[in-house]
Amino acid sequence: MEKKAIKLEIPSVKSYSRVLRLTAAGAADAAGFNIDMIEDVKVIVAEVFSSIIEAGCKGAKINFTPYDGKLVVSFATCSGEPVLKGANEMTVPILEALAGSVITEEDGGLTLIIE
Amino acid sequence: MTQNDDKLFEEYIRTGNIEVRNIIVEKYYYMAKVLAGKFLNRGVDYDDLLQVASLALVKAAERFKPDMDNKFSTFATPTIIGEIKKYFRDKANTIRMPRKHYELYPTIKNAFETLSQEMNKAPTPQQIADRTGRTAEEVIEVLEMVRSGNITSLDEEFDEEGYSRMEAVGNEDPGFAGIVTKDLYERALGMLDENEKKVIQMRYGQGLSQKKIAEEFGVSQMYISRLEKKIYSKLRKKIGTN
Repeated sequence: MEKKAIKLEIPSVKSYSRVLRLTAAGAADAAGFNIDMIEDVKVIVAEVFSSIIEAGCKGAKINFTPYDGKLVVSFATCSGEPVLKGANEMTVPILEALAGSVITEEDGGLTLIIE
Repeated sequence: MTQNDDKLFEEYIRTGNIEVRNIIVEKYYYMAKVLAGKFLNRGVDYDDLLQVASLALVKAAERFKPDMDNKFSTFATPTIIGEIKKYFRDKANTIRMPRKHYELYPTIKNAFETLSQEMNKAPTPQQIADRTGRTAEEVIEVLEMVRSGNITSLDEEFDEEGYSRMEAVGNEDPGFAGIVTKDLYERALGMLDENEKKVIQMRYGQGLSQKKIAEEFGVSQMYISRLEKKIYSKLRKKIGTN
């Protein structure tokens, strides 16, 4: 069952990563994830946010949509550039290892389905 | 991955020479460090995580073939993450985040109180984090959890000599306690302004709840709670240093 989504717009400030991690933890909790999975979600979102900062984007727009046992997180940059523009060689493998599905959208957005 | 790396892997596959494998592992050791760092703050020391990640890196180096159509980093990352997660699963009986939070709470609380006294105002999470060697995020999480759950552990150390609350549980001596309390109460009242005095008298003289006092003053219970904290802090400074 889909629950109400959380929408967050966050400027590219490294220390704001913890705001994102805490929000992600709340969303993951709403999806009914256990502590280990919540920690994974925090790693995932911090990884993508770090890639957005590396690319020099102004900020990120993030939607968290929790379902029972599943969390869909979609990312877009405030300036419209591809989310993974600043990704390093380990970003995508990390996301693939921790998230169930990693979908790169045509408009440069990124959707992660974590379950 | 460079052509040199390809040659190293080919040589290792051909000869099985451990020294060649070790050169590869040293070259990609940064991956173990980076990935171990991603799993910090889950109740396992960084050194242990790094060890698990390093062993996984060795395994990945032994299994990788340059014709796999993948970079070594792409191949090794899920292997290393998988091993780290397996380690967490195996340790699941002994690692519990809440326990870690309980254990962290006294440290953070002590730092909060010391810094409050030193700076004469409440510290930021970052200042507490700097003092305790933790991250600001951990500080926020622990405080949030303790606030929401309103929990303290009986094993928690509560003084400088390391006594736990459990050790301090005993029978009250009403006579002795009465003398000390009365003396302290009277000294305390002399140090407060009129409003503060009134709150303390209502709270401890009349035994009223914060809610009841808030109703009397026409303010929120949260306000009384904060006022009470301020009063305690003021008294701690005056009585504690004298």
